[in-house]
Amino acid sequence: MVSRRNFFSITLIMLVVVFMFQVPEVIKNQVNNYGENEYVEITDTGLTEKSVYTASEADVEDTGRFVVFIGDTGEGSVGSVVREWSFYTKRYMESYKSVKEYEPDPGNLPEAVLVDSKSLDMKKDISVLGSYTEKGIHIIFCNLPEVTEVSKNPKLRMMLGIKGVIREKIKVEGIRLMEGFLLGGLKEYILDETMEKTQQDMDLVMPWYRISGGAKMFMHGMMEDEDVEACYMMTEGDVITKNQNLPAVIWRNKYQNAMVFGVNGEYLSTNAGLGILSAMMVELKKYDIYPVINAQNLVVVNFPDLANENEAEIMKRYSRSLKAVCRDIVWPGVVSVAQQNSRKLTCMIAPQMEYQDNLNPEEDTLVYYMKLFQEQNIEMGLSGTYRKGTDVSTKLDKDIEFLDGVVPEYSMLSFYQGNMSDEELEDALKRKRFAQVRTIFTDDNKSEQLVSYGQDNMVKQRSINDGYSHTFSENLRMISIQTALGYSNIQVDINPIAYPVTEEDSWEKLSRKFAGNTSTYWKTFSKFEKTTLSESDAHIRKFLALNYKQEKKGNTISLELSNFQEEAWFILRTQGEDIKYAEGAEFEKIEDGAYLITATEPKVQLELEGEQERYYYQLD
Amino acid sequence: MSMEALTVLQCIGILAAYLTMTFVLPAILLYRKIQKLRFCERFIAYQMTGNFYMMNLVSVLELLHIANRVTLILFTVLPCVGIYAVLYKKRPVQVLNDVFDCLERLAGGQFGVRLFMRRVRQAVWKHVKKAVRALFRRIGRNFIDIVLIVALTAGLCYVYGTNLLEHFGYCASDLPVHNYWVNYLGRNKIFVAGIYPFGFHCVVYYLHEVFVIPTYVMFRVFCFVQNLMFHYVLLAFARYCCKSKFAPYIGVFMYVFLKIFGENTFLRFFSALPQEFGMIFILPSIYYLFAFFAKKKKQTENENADSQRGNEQPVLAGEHVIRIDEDEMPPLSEESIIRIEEHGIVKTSVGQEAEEVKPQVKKASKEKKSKGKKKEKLAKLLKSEDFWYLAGFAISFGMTLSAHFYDTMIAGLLCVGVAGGYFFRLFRPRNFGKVMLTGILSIFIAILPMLVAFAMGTPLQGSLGWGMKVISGENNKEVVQTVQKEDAAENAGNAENAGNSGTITGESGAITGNGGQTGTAEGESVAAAPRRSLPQRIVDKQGFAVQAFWDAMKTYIITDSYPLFQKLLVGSMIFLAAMSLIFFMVRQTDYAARCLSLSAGLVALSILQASSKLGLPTLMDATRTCIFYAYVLAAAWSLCADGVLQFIFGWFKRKWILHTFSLAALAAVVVSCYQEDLIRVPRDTPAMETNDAILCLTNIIHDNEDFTWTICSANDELRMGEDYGYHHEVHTFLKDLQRKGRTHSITIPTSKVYFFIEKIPIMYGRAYRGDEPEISEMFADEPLPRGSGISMYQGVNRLIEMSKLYEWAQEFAELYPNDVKVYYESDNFVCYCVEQDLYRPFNFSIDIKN
Repeated sequence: MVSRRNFFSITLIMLVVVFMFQVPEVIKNQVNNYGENEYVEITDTGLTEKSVYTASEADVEDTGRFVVFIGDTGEGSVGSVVREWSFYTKRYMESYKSVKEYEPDPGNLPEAVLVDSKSLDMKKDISVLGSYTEKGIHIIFCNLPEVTEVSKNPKLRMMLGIKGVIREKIKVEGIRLMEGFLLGGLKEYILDETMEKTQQDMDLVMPWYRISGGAKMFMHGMMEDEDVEACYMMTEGDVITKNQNLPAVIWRNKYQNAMVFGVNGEYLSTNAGLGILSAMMVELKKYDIYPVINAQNLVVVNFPDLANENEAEIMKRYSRSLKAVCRDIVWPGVVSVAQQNSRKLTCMIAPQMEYQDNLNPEEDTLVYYMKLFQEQNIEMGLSGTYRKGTDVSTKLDKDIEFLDGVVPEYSMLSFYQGNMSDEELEDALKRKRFAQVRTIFTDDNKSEQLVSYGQDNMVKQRSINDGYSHTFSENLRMISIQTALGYSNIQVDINPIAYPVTEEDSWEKLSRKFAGNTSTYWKTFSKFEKTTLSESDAHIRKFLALNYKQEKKGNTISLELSNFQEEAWFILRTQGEDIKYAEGAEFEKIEDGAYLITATEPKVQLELEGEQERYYYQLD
Repeated sequence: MSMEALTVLQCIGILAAYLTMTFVLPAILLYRKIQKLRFCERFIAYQMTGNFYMMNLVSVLELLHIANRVTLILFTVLPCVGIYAVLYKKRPVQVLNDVFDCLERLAGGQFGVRLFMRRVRQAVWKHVKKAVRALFRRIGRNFIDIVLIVALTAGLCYVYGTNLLEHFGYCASDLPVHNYWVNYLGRNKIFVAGIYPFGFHCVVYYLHEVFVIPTYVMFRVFCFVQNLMFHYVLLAFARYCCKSKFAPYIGVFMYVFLKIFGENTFLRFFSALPQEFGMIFILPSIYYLFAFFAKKKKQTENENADSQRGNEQPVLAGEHVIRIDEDEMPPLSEESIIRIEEHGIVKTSVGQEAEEVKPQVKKASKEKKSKGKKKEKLAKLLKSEDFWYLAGFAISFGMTLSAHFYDTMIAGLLCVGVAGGYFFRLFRPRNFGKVMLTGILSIFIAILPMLVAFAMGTPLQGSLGWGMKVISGENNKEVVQTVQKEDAAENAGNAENAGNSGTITGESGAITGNGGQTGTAEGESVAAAPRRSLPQRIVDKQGFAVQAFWDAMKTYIITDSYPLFQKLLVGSMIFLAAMSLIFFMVRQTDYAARCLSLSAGLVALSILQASSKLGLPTLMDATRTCIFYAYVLAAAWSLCADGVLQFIFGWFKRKWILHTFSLAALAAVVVSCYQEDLIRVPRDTPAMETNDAILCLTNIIHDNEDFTWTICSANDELRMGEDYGYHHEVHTFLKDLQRKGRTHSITIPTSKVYFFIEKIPIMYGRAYRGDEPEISEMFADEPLPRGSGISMYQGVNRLIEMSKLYEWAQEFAELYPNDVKVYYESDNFVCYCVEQDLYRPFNFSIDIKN
């Protein structure tokens, strides 16, 4: 028999337990404002394409940022990369088709002359370039002429510090990127037993140039000792310092009064060259400070799929519907990776990719996800991906109809282009529902601008890395872009899971790659801000609008910002000196000699520790 | 942190470490056993014990190749615990059991943590209170003494310490060598460069290893500690010798504070050198002899008293009878006598009963007794004070040899003085044998590690070989020739010539000068002079000897600017001798003997000082002898002052009168010296290395992980940083550049390479051409100096080397503007730092002309 007193106690406890579990849920549901996009206001900058700063000749006197490019600047060329880099680094760029067209103005010498070797007349132009170096103009050979030309031209070799051409063509084992050039430290792009062969996708075949003792190497080929010995007769000194003779890839030589950079390969032909160019400019100075976007995005596209599409295949593979796969398998995996790496997620939902079946997206599922998104501060955008055979216009209309029915007040700020063509995209964005879209997320394209304004003042952001793949060249590109812009965009596409083609298209395999890549390769860039696409959009708008002047007096670097709005971000690269004090800005150390500066006022002062300030000192 | 502050902290740290080993630890172990001795005697005992232990522990462990921090600490702690347990009759097992019991109860909850903590707190507090009370009691009792010792310490800090704050580098050119030897002790390679007295090195190594003090820091500032120590020992010795309380301070204060002494007498005190370290042990060896003979006096008095009593007692015919001290005698009845049989067995008989014992039983009991007596004898020996005094003498005399051969020579000469002073006790058969045996044993103990190493095939170190030659007389010819040349030069009135011709460069043994021929010629001309009569010759010789000593004293010890003190120096010898006569007459025998010993010791030192001028073999360079001379003179002056005071006020029964007047005398001396402007100012002794170089080295060690860097510099950093990083000689580097040029690579495979360049090169033992020795393109264009050794970095050679390195650095910095950083720069010095990727290090052999 339970006494009355005990019965009362038990009942009371049960009530308390029920209350404790139910009340938070009730409150969470009440407070969860999933129907509104929380990023609408906080990411609104009001900046448009008109605000973009493009350096002009008149600015050069103030800023001193001026480069000359000799060569073709057409689409997909080295010139286009140089142009893009100049645009991002707020440099005024003059371009000429050939060397003879450019006559340096002694009163306004450029920081460097960048040369596309294809535009060179080897007989005449090398002497002219040599005359530039006499004036103290640094030369950057964005690529090198044919190896036979180099062999024949001693002046060019002397200028580049090439001691000799050991082999006209050699296949190296890997590529080594020296520490301190790009951000992220030392990288060795060489396969070991644990790696898949597909990882090595770098251009390993190159002419073998042996550079002179006074040159500084930034990137070189890696070879087995035996291969080096087989190809090249080594003297006693060479055996000890054999690594100095390895095939040169990127290096710098002092010639007359200037530095000459050589790039043995097509590393500056894609936007992977952005960071290399920035790093070269750092090498020419005691310090360098340049604006960056400071945004690290993780975008999951086509997730969640709200309809039970491709049911037969999905059931076969996962023994459950696509909706259940997304909810029970994909979602926990994606969220855990994001949380482990302190990433902010942007999910581009695909209500339904194929409206030809009788299935429709489920409203409850969308609400469920939107509540989760709200709790996790995840931004939701819309994916434009559609299945072949589906009319894209009809698909978008149905998507809009569905969304209007469930979350009519939700403002779509980002849109994923998917497999839509540019024209389809343009048409799509004319819809009223997309009037508030600010940023278009598109797939990777190495030769196009990484960030730029598109139609109706929308910002185009490109995916930089595929979450499921991270080859050596993708890594080099990623760190190069991080060095230049402090920006990365990882795209994780759920479409291969919904519509698998091969055995590899299964979440257990893809998720392993996604989790491994995301946790490993971005670690060194953890100081950059983790953003959603809308936040990144705001950063980009501010970055593109910004102009700045900088000067250094003693140990103090002063920055004067124009078109400044709330915050601006810079990377300061020094030769190992640390920042002692900052006024009008906050700073974080990325690595030795590299700082992320967050300017909070238009005038910033950074005081560096003196080069000679030591722990122990002598009293005067 | 400023280097000055760091240096002060390092001085304090090393002093604390050294005192822990040579004062605190021995005091903990020995205090109760020797508490009846005066503090000055205890202090000397602690010093000797601590140093002796450190030296021999390291020597033994080094010979066994197991010297490291763990073994050193282990073999310090375990014997200490053992000795403590034996001496104080503690039971370590019982103590451990108690501790474990306590911990068990604590863990088991029977003993509350709070209660335990309270008890620990109470126990600690009780001890602290006791210690503080004892401290204040002692301060109260010896207030004036403490004030004077503090004043002496402050004076020593001022006189010898300030230079450490001005010049951070080594002030002597041979310190890198000693540093090198100590570094190799760390690798268990004793006698790495040959057999050499390693006592000093063992102590430095011990402190470095156990207290984690970098060796180069030890060598930078240990001179300060050893200066303090040998001055304290001097004071303790003077205190022992004197009867008044404050007269000892007179001599010591004059020695420390007055500027009357020649620079040679203290110049080496600015460096941590073995010879100066060995000075700590010279006076203690004399003290132990004094104490031994004083103890013998008491014994003799006792014997005399006993023999008087013995005359009244029956003596058995045909048997030797001796009396033993009453304290040492077993309690016997009045009828008992001690007879010593011819074979030495002691037999005790009591009346008629002894003769009635059966022969067999007698034999067995004889054997038993003989064993027991041997043990008893040993126990008696260990208990007898004179044994310990002789042991102290052996230890301290041995340590002079362990530290430096010259210290032994001085200690030996002073022992000769003691022999003169205590002739009436020394030349008794029992005493003489004991003392001589002790002396021989002490030398044997000191050279034992060296003998072992020698037996294992290690050759003698160069300077030791030279010392052996001097002793064996092989060097005498050269020395005599040199002296003759000097005399000839002096006779010719060409002092400058003489100074240049006969320079013996210390331990290197190299004798420079080319005046041998001239000297011989002069000698022949002297030989050609008519022969004088014997008395005439003796008078001449005496006059010559006095003149020679006078000249040597003026040259090396007290200069002509202070004639009064010159007279005081000579007078003190005579005065002490005269005093000894007086005190002998008034039957203050020991005091008189001490005076006479010091006087005789000074005479012996005087002969050594003037040996080259007297034409005697120069066993020690005069510039070195004067150091010891001045040191002993300080004790002699104290004794002189004390003698006067004792003579006037010593007759009063109330000793405070004597002490008061001694304090007044000290005050009078201080005031008059101050008024006469005789107070010394610290000497600026420049280092053989720039402050900037030491600053950079200290920062480099602080900033980097060990063995990730290389310093490319002239010389000293090679040994200073040997335990932390690598070193590359500038000359080698430049020679490689010249030799390999464009064709070969020159790499230094560490991630950081520091280049030390002196813009104004220091004077390293040789003068420069012209007044402004600044690096310049002109010197950089000169060919690289040829030769070897340190000559590369001396005089203009250093200028050329530095100019060339600077030019290379400039060229290299142009090629790699961001990789060559100025790590540190001052008006006189620049340190460049090159950071490199070790996979592909820089080729320093740059194509300078593109």
